[in-house]
Amino acid sequence: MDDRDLRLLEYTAIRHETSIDYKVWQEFISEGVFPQYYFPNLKDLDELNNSFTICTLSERTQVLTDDAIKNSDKVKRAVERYAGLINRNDIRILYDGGKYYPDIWKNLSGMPRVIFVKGDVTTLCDLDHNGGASIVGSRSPGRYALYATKEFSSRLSTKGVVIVSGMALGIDRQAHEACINAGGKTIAVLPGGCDVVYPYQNNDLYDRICENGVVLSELPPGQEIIKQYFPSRNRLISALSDVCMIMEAGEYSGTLHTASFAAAQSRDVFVLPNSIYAENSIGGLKLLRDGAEVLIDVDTVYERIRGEVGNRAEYFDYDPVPYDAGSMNISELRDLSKKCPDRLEEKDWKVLVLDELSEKPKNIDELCLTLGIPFSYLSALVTSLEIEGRIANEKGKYVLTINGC
Amino acid sequence: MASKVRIVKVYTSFMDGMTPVPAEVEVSITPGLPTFDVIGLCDSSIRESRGRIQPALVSSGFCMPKGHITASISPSYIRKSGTGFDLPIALGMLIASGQLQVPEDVRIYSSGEIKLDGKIAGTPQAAMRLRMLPDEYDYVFIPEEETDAARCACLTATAVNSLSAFRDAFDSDSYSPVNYSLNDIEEYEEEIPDFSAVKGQEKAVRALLIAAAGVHNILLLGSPGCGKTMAGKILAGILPPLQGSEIGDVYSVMEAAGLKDDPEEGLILSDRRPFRYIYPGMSRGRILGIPSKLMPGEFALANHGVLFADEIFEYKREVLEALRVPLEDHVVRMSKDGRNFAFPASFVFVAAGNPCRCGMLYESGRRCTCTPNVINSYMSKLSGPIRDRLDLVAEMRSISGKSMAESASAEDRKINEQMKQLVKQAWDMQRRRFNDGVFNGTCCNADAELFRASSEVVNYAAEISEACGFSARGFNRILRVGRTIADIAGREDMETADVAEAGIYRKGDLVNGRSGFKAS
Repeated sequence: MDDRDLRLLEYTAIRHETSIDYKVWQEFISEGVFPQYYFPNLKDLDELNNSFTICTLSERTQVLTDDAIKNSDKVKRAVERYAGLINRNDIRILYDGGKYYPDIWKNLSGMPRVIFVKGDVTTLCDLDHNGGASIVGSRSPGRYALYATKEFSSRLSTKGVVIVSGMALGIDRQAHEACINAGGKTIAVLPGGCDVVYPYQNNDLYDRICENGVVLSELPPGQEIIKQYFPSRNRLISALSDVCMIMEAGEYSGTLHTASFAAAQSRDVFVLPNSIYAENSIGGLKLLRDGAEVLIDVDTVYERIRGEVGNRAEYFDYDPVPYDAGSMNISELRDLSKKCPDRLEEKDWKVLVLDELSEKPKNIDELCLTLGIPFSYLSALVTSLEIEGRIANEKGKYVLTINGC
Repeated sequence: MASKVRIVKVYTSFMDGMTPVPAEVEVSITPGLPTFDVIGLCDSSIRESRGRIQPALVSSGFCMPKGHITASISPSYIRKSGTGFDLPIALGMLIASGQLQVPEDVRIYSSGEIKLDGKIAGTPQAAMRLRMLPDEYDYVFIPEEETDAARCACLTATAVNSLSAFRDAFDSDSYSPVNYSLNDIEEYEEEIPDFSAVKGQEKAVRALLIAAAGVHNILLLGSPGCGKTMAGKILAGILPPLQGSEIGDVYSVMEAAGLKDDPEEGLILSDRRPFRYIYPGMSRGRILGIPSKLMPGEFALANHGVLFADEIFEYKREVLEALRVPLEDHVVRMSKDGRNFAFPASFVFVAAGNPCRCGMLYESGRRCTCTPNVINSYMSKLSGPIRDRLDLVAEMRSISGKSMAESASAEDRKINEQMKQLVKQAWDMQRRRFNDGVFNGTCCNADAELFRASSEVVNYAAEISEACGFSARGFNRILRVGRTIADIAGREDMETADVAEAGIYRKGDLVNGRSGFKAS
């Protein structure tokens, strides 16, 4: 834990443990007291309080600043507590202007300046470079919505899209799980500290997400769940994605918050159409009436994400992952493999295997049947693809990993 | 008035634990009050022989000799039991009393229990005793019930069924022993299930072939009713028939286990490879044997054949873990009275189980209702060490009725024949490489010939092991399976493709330990 991390923690503690609120920070920045990428600590506040500048600020700010300095013991205790949890749980602190802080937030206002993450932070880079999709919905969904969630989540993640959700039960869980099962990467934005598993039933999922993605929270470590904070968490979910997919939402569902945040953050909102008689469908249908887009197929969503990624790539000047339109000779290869299989080389067969798997996960017997090659040969191909990390065995079936597509 | 005491020696044998011991029965008859003593650490089954011999002699037309009769059995320092001593004692009495005329200095071997009416019955573990018989007797008599055992032992002997048959047994013209041999045993003919039962499941078929060809342990995972048991029987069916002494090995263990001579229990002399079935309800004693009785269990019974362990995930932990050492050493060891006995147990171990609690994990559609936690905890019932001993893992799934109907065709018979041919070819290659009875799956880890491969192949195997987080044993197993795959193809040298194929049968997953087996 270095000085910068301590400063970030102190900044967080001031934000959460004292009555200094968002408005005060706004004033500090707009009045030029602190630069935009600066994280003031207690010392800075103390200096400010003793300088003349404080007199130029509003009365409320003066009172609150003074109050914060009086509470400095509380802040220091909080910093120690955070530091302990961070060390114990292997948590990383990301900050605005630092490495891994998502580019996708750069043009939005109201995003947290410090976030806490656990897991594989490179997922955030993948999100910026490959695009992200948030998938949200009811906690007790119907089969139809669950099925669609699985389908969209796994197919988007095999294309490299990062799936973002809130690790709640129901749709959220399904979205994370399908993504991980398909070998993709996923982000969970938690409603408490990023070391607080909520709900407890998702303990297993939490571990899997930490391995195959990242859990993220703007709240300091150890922060218990506050129900009132849920909508606020939803704004981060929609902000962390290029498109927001609403799988199922009742009339008064919290999911609708996510949708309105997404619209405010100019994210495309897709809603899965459902029967008007179905439970929990009215909220989603009303969104459709208000002009949300209908979620019909993966390709439309993917194209939209590619568009956003392209814009971002231009803006931040990095090379986007090339658009995977499917190489032209796949069908030629397929024909050739049927007519004269002898002319195909090992690498051609590998392409065909990957092509078969891009349709859906298949077991090796199905692959053997459709490709029509001897099992002994196919199994050697599959082993070598597995070693290369391009496919993985999942519940007896082979799936593409993120490197495979 | 000292009269000449005639002492007659008749040879026999008995079982000391699981070791056959040749023995000598000396009978002397001296004048005096009629007594009958048997000495030599005998238990009551031997001492009771008097009660059987006396009426039997009378009912067979002989008479009970008068005088002091002593039968001494040596080596006399070993405790012995069993009714097989009846016949040698009775013969000794008849010869000593002059009721049977036998040339001087002939060595007679006999063994058998005598019934009151003079009939002669077989005694347990005959095959084991007869197979160890030294070839030094002039006359060998066995009860007719033991002719199968005599065939195992390739013995030259006369089978007798009653005491009266001895009246003219020693006449030089009429003594015509039979050369028992295994040449003419019935070839085992049974409908073996053919490959159509697992058609469309290429991985399972191929894995079964490899398991049969290299005697590798195999784990079949699949939903209930997907044909796992059938697959085990198919595997037994494509193994070459028992050869030479193996037939005797199998027969004598069956005898030792007390199997009865009826088709249900299967004490038949044949060249069919044993197929033994164990299930979770079986006690440890049934599976591994009961040391206090020196009773071989299913492990020993499956020697030279196939042991099918059904529902492998449901065994009690202590039973399952007890299988570790026998599976590795191919021997079941027992101790009784401070002595150790070993039963060879070299077989194809076929374990079958469901991949998760509901069993539907590999079925298409969304039929599995287990959460990842449940799946993992189900899988983890199989401990790492046991898992390490399984060379091959194959997933199976139920095939639809339609493809079932399509699959039953005459061609499947041909596939069976082809498979048999491939297995035989692989076995021949291994026979050339190792001693008889040792295979790629069972030979010791230090065998240089087994692991002879180019550095390219070894490096590739190492790469696979690395990617899967295999133990050293896992690496070793990959090369073994690779070796068998090369043997099936008839190649003297392993290629990288063989090792690559071997990698696919190794656990459900290779990288990252996703679901199914975690990388160990």
